[in-house]
Amino acid sequence: MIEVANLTKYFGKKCIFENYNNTFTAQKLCVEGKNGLGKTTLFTIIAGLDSFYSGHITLNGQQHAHLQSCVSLASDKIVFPEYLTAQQILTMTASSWQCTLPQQFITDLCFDAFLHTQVEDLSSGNLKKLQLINAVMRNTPYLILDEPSAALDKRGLDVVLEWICAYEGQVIISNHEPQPFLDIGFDSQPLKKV
Amino acid sequence: MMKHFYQYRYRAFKAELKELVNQLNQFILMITTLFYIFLPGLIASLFFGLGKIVQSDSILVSIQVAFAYLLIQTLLITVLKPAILDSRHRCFQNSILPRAWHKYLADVVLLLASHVLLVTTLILAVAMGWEKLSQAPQLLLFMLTQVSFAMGLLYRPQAVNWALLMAFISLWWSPSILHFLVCTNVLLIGCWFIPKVHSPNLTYPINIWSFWVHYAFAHSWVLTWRATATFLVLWAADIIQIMRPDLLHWYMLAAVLINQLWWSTLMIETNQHLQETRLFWESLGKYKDIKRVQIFLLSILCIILWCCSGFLLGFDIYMSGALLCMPALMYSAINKPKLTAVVWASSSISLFVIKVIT
Repeated sequence: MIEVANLTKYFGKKCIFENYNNTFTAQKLCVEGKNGLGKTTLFTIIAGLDSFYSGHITLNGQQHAHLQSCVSLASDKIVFPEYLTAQQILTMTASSWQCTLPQQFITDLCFDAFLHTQVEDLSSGNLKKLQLINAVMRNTPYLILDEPSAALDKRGLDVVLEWICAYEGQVIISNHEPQPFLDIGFDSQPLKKV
Repeated sequence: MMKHFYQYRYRAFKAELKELVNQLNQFILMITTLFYIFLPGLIASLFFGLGKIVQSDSILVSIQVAFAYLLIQTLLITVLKPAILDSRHRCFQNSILPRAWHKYLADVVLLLASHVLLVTTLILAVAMGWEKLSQAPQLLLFMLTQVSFAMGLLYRPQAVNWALLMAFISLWWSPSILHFLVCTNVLLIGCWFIPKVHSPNLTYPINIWSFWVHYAFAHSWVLTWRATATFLVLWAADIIQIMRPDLLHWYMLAAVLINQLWWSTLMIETNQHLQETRLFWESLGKYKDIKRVQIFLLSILCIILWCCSGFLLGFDIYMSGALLCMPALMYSAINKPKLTAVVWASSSISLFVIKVIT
């Protein structure tokens, strides 16, 4: 369970969240909301990648000093250095978090052939696959996937859905076409900022 | 018939140029404010240099000046190249053009219009008149070389780099400037056919240290232009050392400070890159570490350059003062990049005032 309490976040003078409270309890949850509402911002905060906010994030009722060690995020917002290869990106993640490359997942996504391709040369679909692999490989108890099906081909989406079904932790996604995820048991929750 | 295309290219060129000026706004303002008294002198020195190509007691000086001009134009045009070609919208250009030659014609026209050094040479040539010009064919050949190198830079930059490298090696062996310019053009044509060398695919394990090696390979331009500018400044100081050794102690400090400015702005560029990829580094839990490594490596680089300048031109206490200003420059580059030029100008003026007083 992820709880957000009294979250206030500004980008310059623009207020994104002001005393925002929400609890994400469902094991598999699709957060819905129109563009620009702050879904991705919220995800980066929950994943511990943005420390410029006030408020509290608790995981299962406990506050964590280093949220990123418990939550992994796949998002377009995480920009990889464009001149590194996909393999180098994944190796850095593996070294930092002491995890191994999910070879089976990579093969299932037909990504083996692109491991030695530089990020700047990856297609948008393959970049999305790299983001997903990079997040999934850390085996954290919480997983956030920002628009996981965007630009993915049918086979890629099926592999991701299959992997999510088997995942035991809590997974939160945002998606503007949520039906395939709702079909495998995701709950839907709108991002309301009251 | 294709008037709309040429209008578009002109608008795109102006827009890119405006963006470039905005980026360099503070630097240009600082230079003009601090050195406005010297600006006419600087422009005059461009013509003075060209005069050395037309006539000089020393063949070597003529050749060196011609080479330095080619080097400077390479730097200038590389900066302007995205604006000249409208690189970001090249695909769009292709999509609206039935024939490609319109694109190349627009490239060449914009190149010639923005080639400041060629325009300077042209002004000198016109001022000289045909009679005198016919007695100095090397100036015409030099103009041709300026155009050929500029064109090469647009479509085959690697050939220009090779040709400049080989031309530099041949500087001391050329019997005349005509010979040098002909050889340089032949070299450029020859280098045109050298197969493109791709940057090596670095496969060794990546960590927060080796990452910066990848960065250097991927952004070689940021290092190349600084290295070239440093080389030109030190070369100029070295020439002054020979011609006016009594003034060297002034120029020595200026050379060190100018080079310090180039290299401290590298901190701004690398910092910008880290900001763009900040969430990636945060997701690895390495953001603070990579920043520490960045500061350490850039400090080492600045110290090495300072030492090289000292060994070449000599050390004195004011040179040490320049080194002591470096942390302040680094700090402002990291935390207040917009103030870097101000910090550099203040520290430079302070050092010169102290030098004058003492």
